[in-house]
Amino acid sequence: MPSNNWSSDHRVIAHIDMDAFYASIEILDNPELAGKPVIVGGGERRGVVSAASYEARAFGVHSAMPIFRAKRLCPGGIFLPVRMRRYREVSRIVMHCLQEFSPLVEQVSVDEAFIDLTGTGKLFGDPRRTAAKIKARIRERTSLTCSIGVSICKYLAKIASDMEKPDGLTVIPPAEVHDFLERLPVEKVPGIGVKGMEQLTRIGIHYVGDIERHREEWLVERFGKFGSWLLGIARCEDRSPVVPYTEPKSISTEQTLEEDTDSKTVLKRYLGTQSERVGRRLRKQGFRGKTVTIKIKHADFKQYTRSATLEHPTQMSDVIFKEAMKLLRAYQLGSKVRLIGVGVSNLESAGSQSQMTLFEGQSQEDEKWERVERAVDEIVERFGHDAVRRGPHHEE
Amino acid sequence: MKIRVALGELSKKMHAISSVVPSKTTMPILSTVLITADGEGIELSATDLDISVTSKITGTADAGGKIAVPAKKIAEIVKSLTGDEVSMDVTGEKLTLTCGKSRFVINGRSAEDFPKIPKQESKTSFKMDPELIQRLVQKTIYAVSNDLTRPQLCGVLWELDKDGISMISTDGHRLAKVEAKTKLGDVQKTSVIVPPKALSMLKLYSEGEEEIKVSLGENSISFSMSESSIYSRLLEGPFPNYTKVIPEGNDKELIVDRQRLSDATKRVAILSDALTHQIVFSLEKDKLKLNVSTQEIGEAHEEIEASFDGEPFDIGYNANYVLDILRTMESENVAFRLDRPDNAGMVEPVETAEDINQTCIIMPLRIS
Repeated sequence: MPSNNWSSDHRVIAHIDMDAFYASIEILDNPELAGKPVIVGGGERRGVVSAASYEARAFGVHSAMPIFRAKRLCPGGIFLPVRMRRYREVSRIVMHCLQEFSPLVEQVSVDEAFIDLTGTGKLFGDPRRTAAKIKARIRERTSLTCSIGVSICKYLAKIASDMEKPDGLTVIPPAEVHDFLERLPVEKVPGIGVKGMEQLTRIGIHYVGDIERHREEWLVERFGKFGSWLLGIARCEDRSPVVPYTEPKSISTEQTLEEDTDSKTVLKRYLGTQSERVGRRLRKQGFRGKTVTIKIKHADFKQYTRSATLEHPTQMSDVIFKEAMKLLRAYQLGSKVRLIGVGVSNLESAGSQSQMTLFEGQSQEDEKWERVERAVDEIVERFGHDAVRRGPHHEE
Repeated sequence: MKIRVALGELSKKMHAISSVVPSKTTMPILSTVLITADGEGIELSATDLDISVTSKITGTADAGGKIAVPAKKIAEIVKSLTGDEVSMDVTGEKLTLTCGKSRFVINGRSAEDFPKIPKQESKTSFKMDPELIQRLVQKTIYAVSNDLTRPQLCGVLWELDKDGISMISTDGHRLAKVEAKTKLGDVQKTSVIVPPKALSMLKLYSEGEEEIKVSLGENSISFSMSESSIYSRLLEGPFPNYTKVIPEGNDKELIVDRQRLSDATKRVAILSDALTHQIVFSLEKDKLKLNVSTQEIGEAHEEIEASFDGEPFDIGYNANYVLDILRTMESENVAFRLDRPDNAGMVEPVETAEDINQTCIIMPLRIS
């Protein structure tokens, strides 16, 4: 077995990618949908495809495609709204499974993760067997399938997981890495976009193996940083570690509007709910943020952001909303808007190292409001979003 | 208009006045400087509508007139020139600037569009020593808030009466207070909040002056010097009642060499958290330990001699706040008068200056 010759100086990195995650969960929750083209995404009238079952993909539907186009391609498709909360719930179970194999789990998104299995051989067997066990455990706990790629670094593991989708298991052991890269088309490398590929084809680089046939100086001179990055890929110098948890740099939310609008009153309503949501996530995850940003995408897909920095970091929905509104008021709409979002960045963990204030009034007032918002969070958590609503300024 | 002025002086004055000019503005006329030549001489003026500055410039006016020209461009041009004399000619709305073999033709705007520089209607006026004002400002301006949601904190509070002046600033985390005894003539007890930009301009323009005449209007303040004047709107109050946050009865006294504390703080703060800049003061018998421990970065420790005679305790601060305070003091040693790790601390110079009484209040950081 080639996967056995894994010497101790190579890392064992696996990439786990859930198969058509959202669509699979929908089918799981409603077995009648099995074998049908299920398309998840968008609101009622708009938006893009978030996920498509393999049956739907056969019609040419893929994620990030506007719903209307998916409807045209696959008129018999079953279109379902996104139920993020449910997907996150399943995602948590998947991540727990992974953690039983190694503490070094880096969640990339709701349906994707890296796991560093180096040194787990004695516990679970060789990399292929371990990966098979991971697949079995995820299937047992969630009834869902995933595809796993295993190799000596993150990017190779990621390429490998994509090779036998769905329900795949691909291992590229150290001894095979060189031959594998030799025959790997450059467009398969994550990070080489369409532009990069065009440039490479122009100079006769079609496979990763072709890269090393060029001199380093020449590559760097021609492509700059991209050149030295390419060489790193070709020589398989990816040492980037599997990082278990990275603190979020920002917390944000955005929505494609039900209908394009140039009414600030309508946008205000969106910002209200969004600020509420962002505040709630800050409080839940224990962060305060100093910078509030609004994002506006116009009907012509041109996108703008506007930011403002607060004097004190906040986790209060109301402060976020007021700041977001200031930014919106100062923004000249010009044309209709199709998407709006709000985010908070410049985060610090709440509770620790907080600067105390001189004038009691101000901090007591803040603390009072924070208590109010936390109480609201609890109610929402228990009884759902419609249980409590903010009054006047959000509904004006 | 046709004038000739010395390049050196023009360059210096253009540089100074362009700091009044707002960097972003929706009114293009505000990005210009108004050049006026008349019987009274040659004058430069700029305004951001809140603060206006006029500054005289020596030179020869062969023909009077006025024009508004882009301030930053002119400042940049004169800075780059070499030579002795610059001549400026206005035809229509164009300014021709010549110096040696260099010639620039700059599109200007009609002087009519330039906002009227307000003339101060003063209720009260008094004279002050420029150096004293500068020192008072330097000791307070750092603690001014930039939180626009609390505009009353975005300036320095001046409390005046016939025997002296106090300046107070606070951003809600720290407070700076200075008092100076100085005869202000027949000034009635009053207080005003002065925007920091006006005070920075004052520093720039009072250099080398003998005295400054300060005039207070209904909601404005102006400073007149021999060749220039600054007019500024005042900020609306009320300034918070700061006296109640000045701690009384802080009985834990730490005395430490100012320079040493400043150097050590700078060193350990290199590893402090980028957002909170937290450093921890550990007070022990006759020593002060400075500790920084930031999870992702590392740790730094330093110990300095100090005079302290109480139960050991730890208190956290924003290193920048500590450094700001130390920077504004002139004494060899500073005294921290502390209470509990969650209460305001008072910092004062040990060797007090003869003419200025300085008090700083700093709120701790809750230690993680």
